[in-house]
Amino acid sequence: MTHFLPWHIGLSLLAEIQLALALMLGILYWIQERRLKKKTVFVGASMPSLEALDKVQYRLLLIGFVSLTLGIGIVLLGASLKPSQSWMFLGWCVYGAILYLRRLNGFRGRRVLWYSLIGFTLVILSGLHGYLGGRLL
Amino acid sequence: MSIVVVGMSHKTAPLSIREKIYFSPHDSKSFQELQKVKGVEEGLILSTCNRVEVCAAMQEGEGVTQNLSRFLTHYHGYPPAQFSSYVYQHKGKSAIHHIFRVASSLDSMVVGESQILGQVKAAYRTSQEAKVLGPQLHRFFNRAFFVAKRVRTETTLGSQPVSVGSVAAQLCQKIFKELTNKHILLIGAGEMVEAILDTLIQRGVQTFYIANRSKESVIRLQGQLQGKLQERFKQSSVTVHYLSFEELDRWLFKMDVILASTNSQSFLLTRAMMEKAIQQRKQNPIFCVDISVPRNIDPEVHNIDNIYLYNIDDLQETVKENLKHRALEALKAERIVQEEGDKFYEKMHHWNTRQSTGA
Repeated sequence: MTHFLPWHIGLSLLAEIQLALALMLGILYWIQERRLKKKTVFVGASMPSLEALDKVQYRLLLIGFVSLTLGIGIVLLGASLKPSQSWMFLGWCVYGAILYLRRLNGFRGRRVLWYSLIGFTLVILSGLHGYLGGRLL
Repeated sequence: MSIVVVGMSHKTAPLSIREKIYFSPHDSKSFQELQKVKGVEEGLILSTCNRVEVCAAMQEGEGVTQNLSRFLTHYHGYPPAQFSSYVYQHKGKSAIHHIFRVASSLDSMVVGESQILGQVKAAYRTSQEAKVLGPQLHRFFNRAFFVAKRVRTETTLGSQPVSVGSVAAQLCQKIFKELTNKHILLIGAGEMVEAILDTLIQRGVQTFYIANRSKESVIRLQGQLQGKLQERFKQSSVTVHYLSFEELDRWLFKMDVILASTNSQSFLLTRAMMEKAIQQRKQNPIFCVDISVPRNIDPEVHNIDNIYLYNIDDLQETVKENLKHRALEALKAERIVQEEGDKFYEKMHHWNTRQSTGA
């Protein structure tokens, strides 16, 4: 297992960065969507369009999910999942659901933001749990 | 040496007067005549649809401004007295401020529009080619371009649209990144729809669907609009498809932007229709603009996720907000112009003193 550990950590870190960026774009999307719905959008402001935010967010989610899958897959090659990695697995399931629903019925916007928030919290908790040696949880 | 501006603009003269003293940029004779005006050392003629102005670097002396004023009308064969009430004159510091304000679009009909700077630059080039522009005006106009650039970068004077058409098009761009691959549905037609249509085509939209009550009226409209669109957008590859109201429900899912403007007394697009459409297009956003009175699109549609419905009041409210914003930004711009104008006047005074003492 120790042999795969650097790979697991590297891939998980990569996934966390991508997913954090996706979450930030999700927040921007939510702000822009809210302004459009409340009709308070300032047309001169240089905020990216919903379409652009959505496209980049989807790509980041996809890359983050693939990195997360590889990170978890590497662990499974060596041994079974530890409690900290189980949190990551749950996060992986949430992100998997987001991507599946996106393909199925165009899941986007506010809902993706809430799901991403849950998924990201799980992934981060897993990371913290792993780095702090289980002292946190 | 002093800078003098003589002219008339949309603020002082109606179009019927302005058109009488319009200078064509190809009219080289006007520059030759300008050079002959007593006291004129250098000159520039700015002639646009909103203003006709002659700017000159002139020797100090009695009546030089009047000479220029006389040239403005005499050249077109009118006695100066006929238009004296429409003509304004600026000299020295006031002329500098005036030209800086014109180049920065503070004196325009729509304050903040970007066209005027290009027009001043074109006038500068034409006068340069006619060899009536010397070092004084060269320095002066380059400073005016610098001031206009400063206004553009330090304020947001021209960044907000102030017409319903451009507000709708900009809202579109808040939702969609690219407009070239979007499908636009027009329900009915009218002046306002045409204004929005124009702006959308300018921004690259190529596919339009036009819906009308009956198949016959669709065919009639097809003939009218096809010609109109082709005439107006000769170079563009705009394609237009025609639908009757019966077909509307079936094709609604394809539409990214819907513009409605008919006299219908009931809703043509209901919440149920739009809910179905948004599901069919997998929640890809739809932007609806309903400018009809009474409304053609059920206002409840705005509450559906990923559909954004704006009516004429919403668009006009945004225009009002933008105009207010522009007025505030114009104050900032005026301060820049004032500051730069004073600075340039001091410099010019310094150059003149150096020249007269022969230093």
